[in-house]
Amino acid sequence: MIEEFQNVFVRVAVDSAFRSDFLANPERALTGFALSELERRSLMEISCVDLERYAGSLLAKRTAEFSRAIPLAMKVCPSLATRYTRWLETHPSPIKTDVLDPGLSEALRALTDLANDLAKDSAEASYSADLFKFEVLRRCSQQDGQVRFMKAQTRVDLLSDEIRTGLTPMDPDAFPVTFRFDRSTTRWKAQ
Amino acid sequence: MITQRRMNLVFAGAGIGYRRQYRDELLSETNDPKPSVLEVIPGHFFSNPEALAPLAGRYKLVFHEINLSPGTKGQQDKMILDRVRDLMRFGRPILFTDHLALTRSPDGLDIGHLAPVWFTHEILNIVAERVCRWQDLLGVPVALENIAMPFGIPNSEMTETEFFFELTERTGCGMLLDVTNLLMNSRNFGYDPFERIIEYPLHRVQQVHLAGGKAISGWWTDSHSESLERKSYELLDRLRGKAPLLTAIVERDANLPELTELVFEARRVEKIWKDGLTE
Repeated sequence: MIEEFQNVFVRVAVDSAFRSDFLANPERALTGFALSELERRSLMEISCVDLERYAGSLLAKRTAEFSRAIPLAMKVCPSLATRYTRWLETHPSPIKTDVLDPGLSEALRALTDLANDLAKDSAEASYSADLFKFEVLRRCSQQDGQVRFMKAQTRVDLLSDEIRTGLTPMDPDAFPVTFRFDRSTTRWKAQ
Repeated sequence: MITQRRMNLVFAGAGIGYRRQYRDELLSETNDPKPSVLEVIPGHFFSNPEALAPLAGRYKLVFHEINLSPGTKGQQDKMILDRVRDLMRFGRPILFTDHLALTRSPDGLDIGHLAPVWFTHEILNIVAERVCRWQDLLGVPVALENIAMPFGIPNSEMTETEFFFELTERTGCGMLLDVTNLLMNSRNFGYDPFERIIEYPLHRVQQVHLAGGKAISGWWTDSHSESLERKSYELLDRLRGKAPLLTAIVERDANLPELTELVFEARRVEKIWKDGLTE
């Protein structure tokens, strides 16, 4: 059945756990799928080297798009790129339905998990999670016009201005605020 | 329903892929050289369709989609096509293109890039139906592009060139021949691109893509990050007198040079198309 063939083919390309199973034992990995004998054989005859190289190129492309979407956060915590790559390996992308740039759309999809990951890591700047959220949510609202809110522990809007000029803020004062983003404005109020 | 379309045979000139970084220069009134045609990715304008209007007022446009996944069983493209039709209110393209590729699965996973289709009669039927639907819905000529193949799916029932031949005959659609993808494929899979190029349905080639690629760990990729190499120009030259080109586009996505450098490459492409490769 061609639908099933395409489902399996794409899953092998984008789902690292399934790909590992498939490369280790293709017959077992394909058990339970409604594939014809020819479809099954054709999947198994694709070279492992080609599959691995292709899967790697997909991860690299998405990671590059993700990194380009958040230039300020990447300046402060370049580890976001590898964090995203790791996350993507276990969270294959669904079909995109929004109007956002692909990298930004992915940053939004990964936002909660990666922000939590950053917040737990004492090696990262204390404001890195807030900066990441701020940059993603603000850019999303600028692109699609949707109103979004976020709570932050500090005036991360001021920090992002500093980072843009090449400075790296150190230990900013705590000042809990709520931000509101829309297409053209960013507003804040103290919590 | 399978429909036949007449081919428009007027060459609009060569152009470049539109990138936001070039917007101000492209819309400026200076005497700096400008391209004849802009190729835009519709998705870049979905969030702000009005931004297309000033470009459409200055340049002939080609719409180049990357996400319609014509090889995927099942129609999951309505939302994108609706947005493309909305966008056409702000600028009507001379050609609408996408890739002969899979970018998503029927059950809803997105690949994020181009994957090869299986060259079988069943997939040919799927792609042909989709292309005819696009032609009917959009009302502009449609062409599909050959991709840089990461690998071929084994046990195909025909070759890629046979697939394109059959597809274009059956639907009347055009072909977007990416000569750089052809070049990269020839290096990765070991064949002569000058022999292979004549196997494509050249009488249906309405657009050409040219870009610079590079080898990563021995594998050639269409990185769109380098200047054009001479072989790409030579492949273009082989199409003269055979293909009813509407346009040829120089693609660049990384290591973006000054706009004038890209326009210079597009001008060279235009000159080769008109006068032949003389240097």
